[in-house]
Amino acid sequence: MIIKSVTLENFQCYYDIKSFEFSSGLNIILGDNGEGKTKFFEGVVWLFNGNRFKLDKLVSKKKLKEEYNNDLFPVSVSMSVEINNQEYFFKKSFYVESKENSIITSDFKLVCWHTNENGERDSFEGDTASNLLDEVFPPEIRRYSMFKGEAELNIFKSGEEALSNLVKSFSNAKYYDKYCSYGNYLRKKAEKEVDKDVKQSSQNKEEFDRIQMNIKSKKEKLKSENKLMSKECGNLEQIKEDLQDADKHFDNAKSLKIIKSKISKLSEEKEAIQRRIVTDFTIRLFDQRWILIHFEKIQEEFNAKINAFDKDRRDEEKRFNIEKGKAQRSQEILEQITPLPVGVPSLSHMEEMLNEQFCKVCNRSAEKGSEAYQFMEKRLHEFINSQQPKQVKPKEKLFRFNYLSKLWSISDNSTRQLRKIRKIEQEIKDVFDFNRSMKIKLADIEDKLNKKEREFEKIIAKSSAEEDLISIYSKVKEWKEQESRFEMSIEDHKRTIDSLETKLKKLEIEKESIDSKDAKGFLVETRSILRDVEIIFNETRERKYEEFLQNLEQKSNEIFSTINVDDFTGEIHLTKEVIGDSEKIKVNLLENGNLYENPNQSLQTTKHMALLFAISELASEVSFYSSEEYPMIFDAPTSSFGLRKTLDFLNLVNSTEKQRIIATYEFVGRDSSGNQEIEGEFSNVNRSKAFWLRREAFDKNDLSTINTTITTL
Amino acid sequence: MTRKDKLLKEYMTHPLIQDKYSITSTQIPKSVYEGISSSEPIIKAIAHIINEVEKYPGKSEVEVNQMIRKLLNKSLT
Amino acid sequence: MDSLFDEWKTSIPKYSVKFKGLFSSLANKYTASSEKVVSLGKHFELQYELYTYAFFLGLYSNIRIGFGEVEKKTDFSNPIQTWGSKKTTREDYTYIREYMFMAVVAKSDVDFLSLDKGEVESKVVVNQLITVLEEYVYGGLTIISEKIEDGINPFLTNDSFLQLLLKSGFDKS
Repeated sequence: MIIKSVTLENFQCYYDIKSFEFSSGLNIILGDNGEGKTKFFEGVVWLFNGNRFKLDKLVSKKKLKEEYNNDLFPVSVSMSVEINNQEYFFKKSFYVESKENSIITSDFKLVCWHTNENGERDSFEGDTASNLLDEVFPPEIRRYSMFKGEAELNIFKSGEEALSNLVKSFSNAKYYDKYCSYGNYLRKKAEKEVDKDVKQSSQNKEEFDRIQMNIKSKKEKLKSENKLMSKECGNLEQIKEDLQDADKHFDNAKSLKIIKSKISKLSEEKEAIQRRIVTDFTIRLFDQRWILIHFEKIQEEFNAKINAFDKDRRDEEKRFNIEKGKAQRSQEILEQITPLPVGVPSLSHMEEMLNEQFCKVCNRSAEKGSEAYQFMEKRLHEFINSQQPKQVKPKEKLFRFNYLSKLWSISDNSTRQLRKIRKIEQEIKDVFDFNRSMKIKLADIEDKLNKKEREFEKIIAKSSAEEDLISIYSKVKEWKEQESRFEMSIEDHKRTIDSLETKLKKLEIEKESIDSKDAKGFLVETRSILRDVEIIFNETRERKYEEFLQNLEQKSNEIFSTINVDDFTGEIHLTKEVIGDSEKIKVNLLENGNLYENPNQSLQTTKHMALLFAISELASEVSFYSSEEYPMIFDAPTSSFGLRKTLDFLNLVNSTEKQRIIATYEFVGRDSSGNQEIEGEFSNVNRSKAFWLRREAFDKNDLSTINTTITTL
Repeated sequence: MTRKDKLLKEYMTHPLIQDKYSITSTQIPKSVYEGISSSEPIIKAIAHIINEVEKYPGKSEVEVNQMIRKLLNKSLT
Repeated sequence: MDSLFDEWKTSIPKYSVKFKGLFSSLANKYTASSEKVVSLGKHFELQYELYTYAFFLGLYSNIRIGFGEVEKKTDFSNPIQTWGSKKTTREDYTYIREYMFMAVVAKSDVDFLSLDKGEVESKVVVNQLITVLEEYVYGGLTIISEKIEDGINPFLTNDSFLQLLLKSGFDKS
């Protein structure tokens, strides 16, 4: 049977009608996380198992918004399947009305169209369609063919899968079960007959009764002890598994812790370097004088000007002084001619003459106001003046101001600073060199940081979220205590059971000796035969179950050796184990005959896959349509593998040529502008078909923008 | 070979048959039809049980027991 | 003491109103003493820093442009003597005033002899020097605005202005 196509209509992130056309062989669905891979898987599951409730949660939000207060619109998942040259098309759908305060959904219905080998068509609904779906892809086979995520692959995890389920679906060993119950009944009845007979004879009756009672009570005790012990074994098994899981988490946690501290150290280093990188170039123009880088020439011009100024000024001053000197001397020569010696006549004489208004030199009167009087007055003043110290007249200056002096000191000071200015060019160069070396260091650290961060994310993806680790830490102590308690208690039970069984054996021998004597011969013989019949029935059944397991184990190992992408050289080993009331399959890895402890996640996944593929082969052996094969659908089964291993794994799966639909986020990367792209490696994957899921441009805050598109590669 | 014959064949391979009851391979029946008329009580018993249960899958244990008792009574006395 | 420098630095030099946009986009509005100043991503922390930068740019590029007859001018109301004083986050760069002074003296045609003789008033000489200053600033601002007009934002990186200045010392027009 192969799936030819799956169509989703307004189902979750698949707005409107979106189809996958599958072919036989390997079909790969690529998509980054959240782009729609899992919703595809959920669509298929819903088609098969569909829950009647919460249909509104399945509706595309984008369509809801679009059809708000409009007419009904459909939501559906359909699948077309080819089996035995016939085609079946199944569609499960319901209608939706998007209104003011609510979303109204109709109940869903399942419809099937069937085209037989001659091309004739008919259709079915409801239960008939449902039964056809189960015939085409039987549920007991489906449960081993569709898996969401890597963890689900471990179907033999304790407590989850009974051997009987597998046997029921895939083995003839199931026919031997009922004979065991008949055998058991017949034997019991035969024994009762013998006991009845013995009782009827009066000999040894009392002793016989006593022994029988004893046996009965011991058997009851034994039964309850066995029950208790198997319960505790079950609990112990569970705890051991939990502890193993916790260990895995701790390992992951330890690695996470180490990586986290490396990341923070690297981040610190990065920040320290970033801080050292110089960025304030414009400020340094001023604060570090870089703005003066080309100033030397200007300085020279300035100095030249001031020099020239100074020279000119001194020159002019010299000339001026020379001129002035000349003028002064001529003035002085002029000033030296006086008509009379100054002392003649004397001061007192002159004063007397002025008072008498009479010149005694000319012997004439000199009245006030007359020429003679004025002449005498003048002479008097001259005399007085000549006695006084001569006031020197201030010489005329050429330069009233001296701006030059300050200019000179400016020139002087700044010339001395020139050597500082000459250093600027080198300073700037040094800063740029420094920055360059810092940037190289930075790039290196960023590279390391990216690598560590990706490592971190990978481990987180493998294990559960970080927060769980804290709660696990606290549980582990408790579990360890419980583990030792159970172990002790189981030991106790074992001892009790052993002693009971020994006593029981003794009693039964005693009883046998009596009843073989006292009971009728043929009854005893009948009993003996039926005892043997029971043994034969039981042991044959056991053998058959063991054969089944061996068959499964052998098939698994054949497949395991072809899909094993690790360098593991061992094999899968299956044993039957009774836990509680049921029989389980225990799966171990052996290397060189020794138990291989703590296989890593990708090895475990490969192991689970091998088992599942082996079961799929068994399915084809026992199916209704003989040697029918069935597809398998996996959603992200190889998260722990990484790109390389996934590539190898897919190629190996492809070589089996059976229809496998595998969804994965590997091979989806981002280009330099942050857009999604398929990595080149993908071209090395051999496959029949590949699809790429992408959400269209989407607003995180508005879910009604979600719309996944399918691109066939 | 039908399923019941296969079942009988498997049961006949049990060591008890050869070891305890010293039944040789020639004496082992090839079908339930043969087994029903075997002279060996244990073979007869098993063949009859299989025959009954496969023919009437819902047969109760009580009825099977009655049949076997009658059978063995006859064979062993 | 007769000091042309002391007189000159009391002036408030102007710039053409058409460059107002440059100042608001490249420099901060407040003085650095105002505590609320975040750099706002601008290149120059203070307005007169851009002015000073433009002066040196014009000076080294030897581009000097006079104001048009009716061109409107404006200033930042801070005389040169207030420029460059120490702030909490910055160094003292008061040296810059002397260098600017030296540059304008070197590039101007001042008749110093007349000045010292007292034939020309110091006020007049100071104005002459300020004019030289303003003309180089005009030249520098023109270089900057033409670069911006060219289309691609040339001042994206934190060393753009440094680079522009470094280059200016090498091509003499």
